[in-house]
Amino acid sequence: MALDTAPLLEVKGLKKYYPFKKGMFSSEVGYVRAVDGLDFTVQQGETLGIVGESGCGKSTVGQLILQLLEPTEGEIWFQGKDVSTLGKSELKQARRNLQMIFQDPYFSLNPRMRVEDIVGEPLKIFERYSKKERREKVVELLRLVGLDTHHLSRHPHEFSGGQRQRIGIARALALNPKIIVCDEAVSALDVSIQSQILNLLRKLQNELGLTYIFIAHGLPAVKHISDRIAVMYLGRIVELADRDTLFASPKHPYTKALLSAVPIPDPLLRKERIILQGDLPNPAAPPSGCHFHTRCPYAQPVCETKSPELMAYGGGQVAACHFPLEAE
Amino acid sequence: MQHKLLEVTNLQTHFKTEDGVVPSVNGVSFSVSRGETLAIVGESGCGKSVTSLSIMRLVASPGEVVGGEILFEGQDLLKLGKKEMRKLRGNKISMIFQEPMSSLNPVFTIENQLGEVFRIHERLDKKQARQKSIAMLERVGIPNPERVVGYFPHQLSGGMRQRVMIAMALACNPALLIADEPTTALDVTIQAQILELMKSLNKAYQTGVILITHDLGVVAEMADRVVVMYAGEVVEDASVFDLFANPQHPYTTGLMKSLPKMDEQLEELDSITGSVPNPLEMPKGCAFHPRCPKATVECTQIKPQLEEYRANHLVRCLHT
Amino acid sequence: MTTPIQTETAQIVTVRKRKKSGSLSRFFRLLWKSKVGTIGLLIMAAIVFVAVFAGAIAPHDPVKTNVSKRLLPPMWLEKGNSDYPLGTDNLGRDVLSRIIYGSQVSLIVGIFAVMLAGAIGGLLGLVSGYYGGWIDAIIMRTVDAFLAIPSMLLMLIILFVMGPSLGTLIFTLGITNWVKYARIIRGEVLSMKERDFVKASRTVGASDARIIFTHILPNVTSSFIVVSTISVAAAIISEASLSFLGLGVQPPTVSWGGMLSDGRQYLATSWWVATFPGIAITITVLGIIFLGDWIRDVLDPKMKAKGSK
Repeated sequence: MALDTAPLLEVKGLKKYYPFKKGMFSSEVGYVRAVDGLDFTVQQGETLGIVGESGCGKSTVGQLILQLLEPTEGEIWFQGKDVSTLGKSELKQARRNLQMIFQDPYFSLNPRMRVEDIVGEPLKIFERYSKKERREKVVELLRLVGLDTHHLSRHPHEFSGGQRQRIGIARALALNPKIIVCDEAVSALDVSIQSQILNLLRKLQNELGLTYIFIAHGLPAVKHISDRIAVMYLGRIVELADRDTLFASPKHPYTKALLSAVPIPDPLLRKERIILQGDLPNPAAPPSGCHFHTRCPYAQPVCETKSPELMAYGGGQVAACHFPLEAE
Repeated sequence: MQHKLLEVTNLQTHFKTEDGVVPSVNGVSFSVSRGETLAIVGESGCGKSVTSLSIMRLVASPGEVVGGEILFEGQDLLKLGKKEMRKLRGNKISMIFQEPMSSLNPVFTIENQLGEVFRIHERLDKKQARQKSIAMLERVGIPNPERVVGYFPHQLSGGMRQRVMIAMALACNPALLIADEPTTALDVTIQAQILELMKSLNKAYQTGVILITHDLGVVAEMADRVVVMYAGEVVEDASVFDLFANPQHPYTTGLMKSLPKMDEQLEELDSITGSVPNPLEMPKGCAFHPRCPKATVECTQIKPQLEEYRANHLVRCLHT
Repeated sequence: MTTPIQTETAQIVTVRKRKKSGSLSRFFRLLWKSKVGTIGLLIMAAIVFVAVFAGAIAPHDPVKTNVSKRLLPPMWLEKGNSDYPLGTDNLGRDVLSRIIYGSQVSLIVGIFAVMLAGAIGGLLGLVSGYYGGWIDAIIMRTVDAFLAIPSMLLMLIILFVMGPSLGTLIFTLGITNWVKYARIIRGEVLSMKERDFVKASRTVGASDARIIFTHILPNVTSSFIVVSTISVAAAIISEASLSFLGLGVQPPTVSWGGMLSDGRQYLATSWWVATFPGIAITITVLGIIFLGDWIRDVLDPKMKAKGSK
């Protein structure tokens, strides 16, 4: 990976706060800090994985990048422009290059539309194709994702979950995007189908030079497909490193616990896990200092008061912890 | 011990739909001993959940158990009257579900719901039921049980709700616990907590457990024995160590190979081609043959039986 | 070893074999499968036929009085006359002919009032749900205001001010019924708006108009139709009630409600004058509701597949 080249996408100080009223008659306003100051870059052709548990804000990040949500603060630089400040027509152009694959293939396709219209919709909006040209292009896209001409006039419900996900991928590919955000793209699929889709994503990346932001809670899938991985906890990145470093020598105790919590499909490897105590805190009232201190086995008094900054540990690894773990 | 705790023989549960009969569970047999954890694995639609509902006699219309035998402590559950079955449910056999939010009634407090179990099955009064509820919450690792007992379900997190469900299920010291995807809706770190809890309770009370899951990781972590289901049938049945070390059915090996690994990095995953067949149009011969890399002409014609591959290891394949 | 693509294609081919029939035959197969739908369609077809060809079917002039033949019983009763199969009313007018002509008013009022209500309520519901914010607040508070006033009172006031006529009746019923549409459509739009396919469409740069008309609108049609059928039925009943109170269509135009009103005084002695228009109203309302249920099913793409298996 060439880190010296300019990144394809750069996120700076990204925040998304949701205001809520404290109590029915109170005018005092609180904020759910869904995303609380993110900085990261994405290089051309790589896959950045974003993992974390529910409420960590990983899905919000995807929607912010695609401008489905408006950021409260921060910048999203793509092709020399901050996409969060673009006007309507510029944004439309930027969207050619930023696409998304959704989690649930049952809800991400309009049940009333035929496959030809679903996959062809972006072309209808952006290109001046004749009907015949558009159909040809749609067929080409369907072939690319392993579907066939027969499927053109079908409705989504006539397909299995895996096939629907393929349709969603074909739609995302229609405009030759640079970046595709995969938001839990394989989480709802059965094991055997999940591997088909992961292979397809990998194949498309190799053939088309795509860049992925792969958001998921399932660590094995993220590990399989990502070059670098960001771990999020309650709206913040607690660690970001290339895949092998992250798995071999995590610096943040949360990363380590997360890795340890994944059940390994081998009964001979039953092991003593790091079992984190307690629940995920409420994102509307995150703990003071380091958000993780309430569950952290290594927490010290300073963790309750002072929020740790992201520190670099060489090789592109960064982690936000006052007491980073030593390499084993 | 004369009997196994639970012996299911040739269970058949069919759903009669407008378009034909769907044999969701098609001749399933397995057994569970006291204190044993049996995992049933398979993908969506393989019939694993319907199997568990059949044992509980909770299959809803248009589904119906049409054949087989379910011996629980030597007694055929399918021959019990409704009333006797109700007495058994929640008392000797209990169940926890995937979604802890929808399995708890949102308008009642935890005390109400957990206490109800004691009031029904042990005929305790309100005060005793409350005491027992608190003790039970404590046992499943809920901090501050005296306070939590007065909470409504929405005041609890997903993991806490699942703990409450487990408390309810274990309230009467059941001999058999059926857990249908108990951790699928939970976050990884919470899943680890719940699995640990289930393991310790299983050890402490010698409860037989049927764990239904799609996650081979959870299976490897929890199970003593494993039953692999595909398209309404058992395709493999073995001890957990034997199964993972020596998988015989191509579907089992396919599932294992298609998992992304935590400990090694592959460029491409092996995957099982195609998708699960339409239950109304089951392939002739072996149900798995259209997706099977080892399939031969015989597989399209002859239906394989579940046969002993070696002691304690059954496989349904012509090519073992 | 086969590739996933090949096996999937193979599956599709087998599925296709089952699906080889035109939409018209699908229509009839689905209709036949639904007995209720068949009954509804037959009833409504009959009523529309009768209304359109009233002049040719009706045995008598519906407004021609004949005092010598007043209050004749139906033909199968003693003193009945086969010229007047359902008997005559207090002015000697043929009940059957009046019911035949009365269907015109019922259908016109039912259909146009609902079209008006659906257009206003559907549009406001869409706008309210999609844009939200202050637009939503204004529309929904208006809806609340309308709901707070008893609709019968509102109808009576409007009719009193504007004077009873067919046009005012339609207007009145439209104005009092749109709130149902607005509320239900708004709720549906709110849930549709959060669906991933709407987000997906937004990520490919679709305009608001495109999202509303190609993604949201088709997915709220089934609710729209359910509300509409109930509303047509309700409008027909409202028309009858208002005509019964003398505020509906005015004589000499015949309406079922008016007939009920006329027959009221003779219920004890000549029950047929009020009973037959009552039965006509009931059958029509049932027919519309049956038909509506079935249309909703046909429009659902999932049902299409089921019907073709």
